Amino acid sequence: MNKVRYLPLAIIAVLLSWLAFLLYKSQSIDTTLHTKTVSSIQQLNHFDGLLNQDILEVRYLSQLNMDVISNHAEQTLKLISDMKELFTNQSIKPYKAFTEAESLLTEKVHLIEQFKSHNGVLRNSLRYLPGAVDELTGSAIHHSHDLDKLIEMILTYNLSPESVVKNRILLLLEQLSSFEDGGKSDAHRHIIKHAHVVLREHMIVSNYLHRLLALPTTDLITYLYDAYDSEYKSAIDDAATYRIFLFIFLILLILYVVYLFRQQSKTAFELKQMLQDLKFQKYALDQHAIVAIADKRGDITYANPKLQKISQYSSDELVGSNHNIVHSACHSSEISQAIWCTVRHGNVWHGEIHNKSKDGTSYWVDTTIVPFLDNSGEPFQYIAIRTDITRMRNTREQLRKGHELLERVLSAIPSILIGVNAEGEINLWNLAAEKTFGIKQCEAQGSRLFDCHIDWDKAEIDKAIVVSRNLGESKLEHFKYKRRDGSDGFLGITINSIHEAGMDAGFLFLASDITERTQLESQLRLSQKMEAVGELAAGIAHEINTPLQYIGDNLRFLKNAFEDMELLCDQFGELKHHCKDGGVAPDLVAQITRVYEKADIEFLFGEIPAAISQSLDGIKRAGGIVGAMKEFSHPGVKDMVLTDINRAIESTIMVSKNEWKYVAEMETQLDENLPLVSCLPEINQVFLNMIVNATHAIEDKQLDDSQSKGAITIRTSYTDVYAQIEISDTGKGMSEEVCSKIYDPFFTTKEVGKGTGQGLSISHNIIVEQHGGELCVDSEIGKGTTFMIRIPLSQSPVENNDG
Amino acid sequence: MQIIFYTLITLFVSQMAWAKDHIDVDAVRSEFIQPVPYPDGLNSDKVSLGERLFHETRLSGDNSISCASCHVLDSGGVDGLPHSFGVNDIEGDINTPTVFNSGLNYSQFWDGRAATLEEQINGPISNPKEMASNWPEVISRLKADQGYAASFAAIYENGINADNIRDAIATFERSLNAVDSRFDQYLRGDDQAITDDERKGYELFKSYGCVACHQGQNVGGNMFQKLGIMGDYFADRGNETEADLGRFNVTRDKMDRHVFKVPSLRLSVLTAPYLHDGSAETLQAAIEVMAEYQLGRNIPDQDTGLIIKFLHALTGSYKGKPLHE
Repeated sequence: MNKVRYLPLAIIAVLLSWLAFLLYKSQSIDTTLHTKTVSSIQQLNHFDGLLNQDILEVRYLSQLNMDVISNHAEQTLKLISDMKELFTNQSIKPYKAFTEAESLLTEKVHLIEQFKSHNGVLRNSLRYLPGAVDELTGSAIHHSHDLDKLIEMILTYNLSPESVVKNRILLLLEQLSSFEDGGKSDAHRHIIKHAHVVLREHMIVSNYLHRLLALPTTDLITYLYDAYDSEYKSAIDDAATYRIFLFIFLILLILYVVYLFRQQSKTAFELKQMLQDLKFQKYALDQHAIVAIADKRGDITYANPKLQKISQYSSDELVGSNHNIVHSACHSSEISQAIWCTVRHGNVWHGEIHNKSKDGTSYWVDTTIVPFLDNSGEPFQYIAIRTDITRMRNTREQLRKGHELLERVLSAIPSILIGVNAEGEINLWNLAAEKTFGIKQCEAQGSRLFDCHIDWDKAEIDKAIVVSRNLGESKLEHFKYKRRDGSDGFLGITINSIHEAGMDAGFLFLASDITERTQLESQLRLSQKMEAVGELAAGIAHEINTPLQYIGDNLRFLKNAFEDMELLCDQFGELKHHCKDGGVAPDLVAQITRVYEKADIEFLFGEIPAAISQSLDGIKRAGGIVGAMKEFSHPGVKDMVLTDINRAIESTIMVSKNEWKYVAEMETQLDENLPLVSCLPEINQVFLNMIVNATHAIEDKQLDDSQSKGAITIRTSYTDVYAQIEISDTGKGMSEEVCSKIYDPFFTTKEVGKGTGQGLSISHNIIVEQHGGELCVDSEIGKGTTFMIRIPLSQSPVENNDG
Repeated sequence: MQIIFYTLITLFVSQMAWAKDHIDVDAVRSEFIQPVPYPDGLNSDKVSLGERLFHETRLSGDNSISCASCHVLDSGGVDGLPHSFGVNDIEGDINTPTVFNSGLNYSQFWDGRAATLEEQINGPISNPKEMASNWPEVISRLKADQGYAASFAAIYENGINADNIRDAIATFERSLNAVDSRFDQYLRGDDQAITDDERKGYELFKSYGCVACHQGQNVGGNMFQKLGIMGDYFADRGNETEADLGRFNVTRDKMDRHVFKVPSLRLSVLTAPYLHDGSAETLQAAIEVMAEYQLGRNIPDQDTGLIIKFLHALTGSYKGKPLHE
């Protein structure tokens, strides 16, 4: 935007600079400089002329005052130095012509100096000679004629320096010199010397004079002038050319300005249009929003009708007063400060403000305050656009309360509730879900259900989700999963798909942890079975007991009868003996002997008592088993009764004898003095479980290294507080890891079908929960396991919280 | 163009003609010697600053001597020694010429190596046998002086610098014109200003040819002349030094060997000893040397006496006070 705006300015600037350049070029003839240069050249010419004149005056008019010529020479040199500066600084073109003139005139001045010196000498000698000769002639010497002749010739030579005259003078001087030798006169010697000086200096002076007058200074100065003049003319021509360009450029510039002007008017029209639009927009804004404009102090300068309406102030009341007039006092001064701070630094403030109207009713406005910045970035006014959001706020408040209620409900329900939206992201995760899965709501929210670290069968869930999508609902009963503590748990899951406007909008995952329930159900089933078996066993025992009773009685009768029969038979044998010896009825005796032998009476009398006492023994044992069975099953007993633990153990051993008798030797170390303990009949089941587990442990060990029989040792003891039962085996033992899990319901190390995984769990329940006792285990792999049960002696009946 | 040129020429020539007329109006005798002009158009502030600088010993390397040390204003602008002594009492190579009327000389130094007084000042400042200093040193010393800083600032825009120091001293020197000598008064028309002997001396001065070199306002100082035209002065004197080569040292032209600036005779009666080497202790001796080596003739003692009398008439006044008093 700025670039576009400054482009015309840049173009105008370029055009103007070109214009300035052309103007400069067209005006480049500096008339002052020109006048100065021309006058300098003319002065130079003038001084050159003056010098020539001075030279001639010195030479021929005997001008002796050298101030004149020196002055002219000095002025010439000064002029040259000034001109040099002028030519160099103003870079006047014919500089070469000037330097030539400069060197020539410098040489001229130098020659003039030499000329002055020699001319003075020549002049003195010329002046001296006539007087000296006169003086000498006056003293009448013999060669005065020659001297006169010499003067004559020298004066002639001075006027017309011909070599003939010079030669004659030299000849005469030679003669005079020879005279002089005789004359020995100082004057004579001086005359000859001066004559020589005249000859010498005349030549030198003439030479200098010729050189001076021959110096082409005038030509050079004229040449300098011409060269400068032609440069000047060409510069004038150039200037004229530039003037034409200048004219063209001026036209271009005018055209461009006209174009810009048209552009400008177009822009102005557009601006007007935009202004109109802006007015409409303002109107629209006024219709929608509460608008106020404040100056930089915060005094209102404009308030639209909506503001007047909502604040109940008139425009006159609002305009001029501070904007605080509409603010309610319920905002702290910090908020006001913060708003001021934001906008005063040129930033837009946005937020909700509580305002009050004239009659004190308050209302909420959603406010945007925009500072208008001047060029230095300082705000000069603020516009506040507000929207009445009082109703919206109220609604929001209600909504919030409803939401809070829902939240509370959701966290209160014990079931797991997970909501998943159409994108598969979790949007609901209640407290129960948090507790069950150990995943915080904030972590779960937004992530995918299967991305949460829950150890369960994802495929199964997925299948259920698909089903719920089709049928609207699907259920998973006893769905197995790993609980937070690593144990197995069960969930009862209901998945409800949600549809919004016919579209799939995710699903609601409702689940309950039914592990406890399942366990209880299982235990209940087992104990019902046990109860039924117990009742049946008690019934059978009772039924068997009766025949056993009379079989026993009959056998005892037979035993007694046989003893009597044996006595009788013995007597009868004696009789036979006597008969035989006496020979009484030998036939009969022989027959009796045959029957005796056939019946092998001896053998019968030896074996029958044994058989009878064996049968009696068996009956006795059968009776014991039946008694133990009755003892063990306690049919009909539901409450705690004082129980002889030792007896209970013994009967359990008896009942389970079939389990262990091929595997292990049973050893009991029962404390005879063990007091009676208040127990539930289920205690027998605990002992049975222990014995069966011990047997299985030994069996497993035998499978591993086919040893001979193991040993199960049951020991009872007591203290003041509790009775203690220890059940040790020499089985394979358990690892620590296994030890930690043995009381978990459904945990088993046995192969499928052999164990339910409920035995120890139930035992634990019975001892710990129902009797308030302790159940400890000490196990070492390969050595065996010892379970230790402690049951409190004084049982508080309240602890029986069966459930 | 040509027309303008000739018009200007005409104008110029007419101006010159007017100037000549103007001189005639002064009614000065048309002689080869002209009166010493009155110092005119000099900035009095510069003159007084120049006078201070002229007496300023800080211009020399060891603060020992000033311009006035050799150009003693109370004794004809010279020190009366054959050769002057610079810093550390080093003897110079040449006789000190007077500073009076030096503005009338067309060149400075015996060999004319400086065209102006300003240029001349560089010589003694940097000559190791004279002031043995340099401009940066001089400027820094003067700048340290509040008085100078203020004086310079009042006159010159750019304060203390070499150009301005030179300008001030040269301006002062231009004010040292010894004006209104009796001979000048005579030249200006006062016949009674000089005695008959002096007039006779002047006539002899002219007729012996002295005037061929010693002429003009300064009675010399406007041309060069060889010392020893009529005889070899240096061979006769012996001990030729580099300074004896004279103008040759400047131009390196063999014609300039032993050529010196013709000295002014204006204050000759006050400025003994004479000649560039200071060898002539009296005017008598100097005139004898001149007669033998320059004029090539004998001048009787009587005439010499008259010439010396004439020379006495040439001494002017400075600040209204005759210099010979």
